[in-house]
Amino acid sequence: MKNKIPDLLLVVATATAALSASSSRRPWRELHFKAGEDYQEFLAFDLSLGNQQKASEGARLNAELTTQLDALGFNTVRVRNPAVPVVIVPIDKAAGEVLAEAVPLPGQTETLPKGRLVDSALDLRATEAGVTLTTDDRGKLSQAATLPKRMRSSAFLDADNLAELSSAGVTEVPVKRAAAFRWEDWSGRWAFLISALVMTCAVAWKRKLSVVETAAASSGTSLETLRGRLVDLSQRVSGLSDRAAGMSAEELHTEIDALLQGPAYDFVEGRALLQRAAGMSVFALVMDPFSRGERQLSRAWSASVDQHEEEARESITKAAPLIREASEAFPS
Amino acid sequence: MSDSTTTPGGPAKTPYREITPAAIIFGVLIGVVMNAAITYSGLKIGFTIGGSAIAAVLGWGVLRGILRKGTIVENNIAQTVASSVNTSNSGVIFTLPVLFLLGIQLDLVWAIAATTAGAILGVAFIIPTRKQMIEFERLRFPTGTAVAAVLRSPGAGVQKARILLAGIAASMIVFFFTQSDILGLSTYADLGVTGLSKDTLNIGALLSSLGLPWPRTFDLSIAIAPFAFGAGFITGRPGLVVLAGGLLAYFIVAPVAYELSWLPNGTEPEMAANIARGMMSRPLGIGLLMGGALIGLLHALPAISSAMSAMRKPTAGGVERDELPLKVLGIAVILAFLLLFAAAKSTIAGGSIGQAVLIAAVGTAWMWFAGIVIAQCAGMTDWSPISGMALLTVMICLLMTDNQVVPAVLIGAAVCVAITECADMMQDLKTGHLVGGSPRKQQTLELFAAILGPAVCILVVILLAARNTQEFGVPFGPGTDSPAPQAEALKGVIDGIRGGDAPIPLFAMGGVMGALLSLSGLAGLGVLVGLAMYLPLMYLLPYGIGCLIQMRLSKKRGAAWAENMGVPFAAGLIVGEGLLGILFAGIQVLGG
Repeated sequence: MKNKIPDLLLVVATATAALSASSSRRPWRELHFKAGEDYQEFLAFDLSLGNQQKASEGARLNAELTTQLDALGFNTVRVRNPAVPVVIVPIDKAAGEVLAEAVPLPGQTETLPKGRLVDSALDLRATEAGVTLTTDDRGKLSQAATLPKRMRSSAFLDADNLAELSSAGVTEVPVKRAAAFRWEDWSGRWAFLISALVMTCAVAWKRKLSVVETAAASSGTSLETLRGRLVDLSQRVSGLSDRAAGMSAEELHTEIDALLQGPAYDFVEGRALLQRAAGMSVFALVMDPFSRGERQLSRAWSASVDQHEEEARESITKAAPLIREASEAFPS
Repeated sequence: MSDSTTTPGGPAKTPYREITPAAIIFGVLIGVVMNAAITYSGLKIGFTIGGSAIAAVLGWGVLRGILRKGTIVENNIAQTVASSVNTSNSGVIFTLPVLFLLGIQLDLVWAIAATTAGAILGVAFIIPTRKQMIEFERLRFPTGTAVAAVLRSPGAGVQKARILLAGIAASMIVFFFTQSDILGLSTYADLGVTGLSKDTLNIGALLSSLGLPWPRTFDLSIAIAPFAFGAGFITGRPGLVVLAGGLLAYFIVAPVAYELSWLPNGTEPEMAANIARGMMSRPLGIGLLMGGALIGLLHALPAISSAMSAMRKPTAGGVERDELPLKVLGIAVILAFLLLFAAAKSTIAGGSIGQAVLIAAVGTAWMWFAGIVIAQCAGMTDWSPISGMALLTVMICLLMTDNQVVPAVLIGAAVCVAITECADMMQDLKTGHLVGGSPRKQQTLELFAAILGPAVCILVVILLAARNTQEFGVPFGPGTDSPAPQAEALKGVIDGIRGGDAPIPLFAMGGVMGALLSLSGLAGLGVLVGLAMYLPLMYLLPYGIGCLIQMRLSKKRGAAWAENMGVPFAAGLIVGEGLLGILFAGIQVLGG
């Protein structure tokens, strides 16, 4: 049970870290206000002011409202973040901005060809323009339609787009304002830091336990068993290599299948112990020739299925020294 | 390549067929057809289908059945070539159509140049990690394992072959009714069961309709996706973390975010999970992936370094060198880098040579890192978060080019093609390892075949855009037959970034969490949790159920039984859905 504590800590801390990180994206922030002061901030939610009065979401936090809220005992309030998601800017100051909504280009039209699918957005646009769209039974325009041209919402105002707006006589445009991330506005910051700290402790604890478990396993019989599997595989592959000359494809196939599904599979299943006990460098020294030998055995398996005895024998001959090399590299 | 040779002093020896003209021609033809069909359907439905399993099954039929010559390793070469030509489509269609959506003219030459560079770099960069991921870590690469099960089926015994076929049949039957409306037939939705749409079952809605209480903010939908179940089964216990991560995103973060009003005003409880995923879980998941992968990479450096040393050493003992030599890879990387530089230089308005070099260099370095991340994800779960990588890449490139979209999207497309090639290359090499194929031969062919893919799918994209413009007045997006949902999503991200709204702090926080989780000693934990937070839960559920059933069977009947009997069935599930998916894509292409 004690060994499960770091796992449990890691799970809980990961969940709280994810939650506190997520809180940084919320569309509002807490504002400490002073009574009677006027702020360029806007309420994020409806607020009850008593006597069946309320301040609606989006209301500006002006002097009157801060006074009222102070009288009700509030000193903080949730305001929109960003305060103003859309601002109107003159066209000559709009370079590099992104349109918050579609902007009509006065005097210009565009023709939608027959066959264009009519979705709800297009339908709404046509209705606003007073144009009736005729559609077929598949919801496509049955004849071309002409609508007032406009620049799409979210268009990036580069030189070309600005020139198009200017030439259409547009003088100002609505552009987006994103919420800036501010450390002091992120109320979940301490929860995140504490969670990360707990995660660090849990990780350290887990690693310590892992070292203890590995030492216990290495000093016992597990590593010896693993070595035994590899030595057994090596001897059986060498033996098969010696006998292969007189064997048919079916016989070769049966023997190789037994090797791959028996000692080779068992060794692969237990390889993590070797990695933990001997480290990555020794692990690589063993696994490199082993894997190459195993691949040669797989090739021999495939060749025997394809009735190509010669290739099967050749591959077994190549596999034998590689598996032997792996067993010799296995730490004693 | 010839059918027989004479050994001096000995009898005529018939070489074991591996690389043959038949395998290459077949692979290229099938790859081109699949690429075109999947590009079309991907622009229509928003996701793509892997081609390896289909190529393996078709290759078996053509090379062995019709030509009566194919061997297992020859068929492996055919599927390697086919999937290499095919795989670049997801990298292209998730990125380049965004230029059409933004009303920007696509420069065909530089688009092909950049994505071809990406394809070469993807293959060249991932080769040195083969030993680490496939031979040392033994990542499962479920599709690679499934393809190997198909290739090995003639020698695996009648019972295993029957199990594989049963899996394919079961998968096709289950999956058929999710797409049968394409043929004008009924789908699951027509059963009239509450919560059951044509391809998902909303368990929450079903329970509510039966009068059982179910919180409205808990989105418990499960996709009817046999492939996800099969991939989960092949992955087994390690994949269970993915399910846990999905539950964290959907059943903890989303409901809490809703209850504490962290979501925009007016969010309906049923929409909370999706909105929270877009705003919070996905960026956090991408950060976790990055942080986790970085630690995994640092941990694997000794093994990668050992593999690279082996690539420099001369061969001995008559055993072929495993990997393509570093010199060849180095030349490929330099040529591809120059191509990328030229594409960057030509598309940055007013850009200096230094800026183009910087962008090409960062893009190239990013391909290496992102490629390893994607290959790890594919190895552990079969999923590749390509759209997430596209998002990050485009964001970085936008920051470096002062918000210039064309070079950012071109480099983004190159990176996406590179990382899809990385994942595909490793899946193919896994198959090769299991059937005894030569990695070096696979790598050589993949390097050449990968070059063909981007041009094929870019041409399909351009043709479709031209047709749509003629018919609908716009090239892609809402109002056309090709809504290009992934590109539409990327457009939203680009708009957001250009408006200054990139979730960089969440990426960073996720990065810290991912790094810590990966330091825990559980291999790839940060990557798995990140992937889980990134993916929709409806696919994670069948995947997780597959993991649980594998664990249960391993406990009850033994690991060897689960491997010998369960894996062929699971492989069949992956192959069956893939086969039917490509069939439906073909029908859509022919039907217009």
